[in-house]
Amino acid sequence: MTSDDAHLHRLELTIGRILRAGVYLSAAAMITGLAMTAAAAPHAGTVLNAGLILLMMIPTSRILVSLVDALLRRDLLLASATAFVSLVIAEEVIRKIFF
Amino acid sequence: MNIAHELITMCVGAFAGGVGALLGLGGGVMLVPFLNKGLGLTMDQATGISVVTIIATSSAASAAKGRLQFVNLRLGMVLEVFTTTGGVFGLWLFGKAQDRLKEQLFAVTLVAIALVVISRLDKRNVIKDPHMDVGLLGGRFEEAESGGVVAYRVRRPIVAFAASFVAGIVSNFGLGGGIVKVPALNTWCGVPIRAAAATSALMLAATALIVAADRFAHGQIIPELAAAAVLGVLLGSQAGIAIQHRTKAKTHKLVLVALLLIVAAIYFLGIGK
Repeated sequence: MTSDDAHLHRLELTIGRILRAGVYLSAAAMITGLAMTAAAAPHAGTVLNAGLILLMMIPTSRILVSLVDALLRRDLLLASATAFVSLVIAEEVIRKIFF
Repeated sequence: MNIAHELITMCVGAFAGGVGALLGLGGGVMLVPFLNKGLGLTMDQATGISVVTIIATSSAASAAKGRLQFVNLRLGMVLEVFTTTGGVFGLWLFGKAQDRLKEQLFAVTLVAIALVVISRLDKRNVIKDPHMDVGLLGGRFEEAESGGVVAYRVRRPIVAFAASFVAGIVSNFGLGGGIVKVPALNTWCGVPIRAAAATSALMLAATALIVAADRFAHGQIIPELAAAAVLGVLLGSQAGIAIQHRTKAKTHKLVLVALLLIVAAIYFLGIGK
């Protein structure tokens, strides 16, 4: 295994953790939110929206982690690719949600 | 919105997720028509919920044990440039379109996907030389069937870029676009089917996110239904993956083609609602 492969393997492990944590957290928020909806509890909508936002944060954080990793490894190709995707997401989310 | 709608959505989500995982297609093909024709949501509301479920299944599937080793992270990150650009282009292109036009384009997309599935070749593209130079975007992984580490190069990257861009556009219809990327990567670019499928699956979440953020920002995602659909699809896709290996690939394809054409016909003929 080359050092490049070892780096990629470490990145794989980090990404795996992000994906799992994200899925569990958002599913937990959605289950709670639906239960609150069924019980007509106040703020059910807020909890459900938090679940949706957590879900949308999964790919976002995966790409940001990959960007940082590529920068640290001075991998120009991956750094520019992930930076581009981060900018597209930032533009989508920030412009659409705040303006 | 009432509890009955959420319960039905969860069940349909579970069914769509299960069949989707079994056939190698996300649940969007069934979920969008159900939400649109069955519950009377607009196309934007229906596709919004569908892309949210894609983020969930993509993340859950990629997080499964041993799955990431098949993912070609370098290739995925580069192709995401094209899937996300395609997604934004689609938003711009269809943003002002009438619902009827969106329905017809959805049907056209399904027919096109059916044609891709019918014409699809099954070839293996692995080179059993773990030390070969895989180039800028190639990769290697361990595969028991081939008896060791296999390596591959990415040929004709331009085809992979184009297919990813199209997949991004298609995500505007609540479809993942994996069915566009995987055959292209496998047939034309020489990426082994497992690596193609795993890499495509990881990319789906970022692609779907572009459309999901747009719908969310426009208040088109009904949170109760989205949560019900996500939980249903997550459960269903787990079940689908579990029974996937027990059925024949050819049967999958025929069922998938039939399903795509039926849904397309419903939309072309304007049945329901």
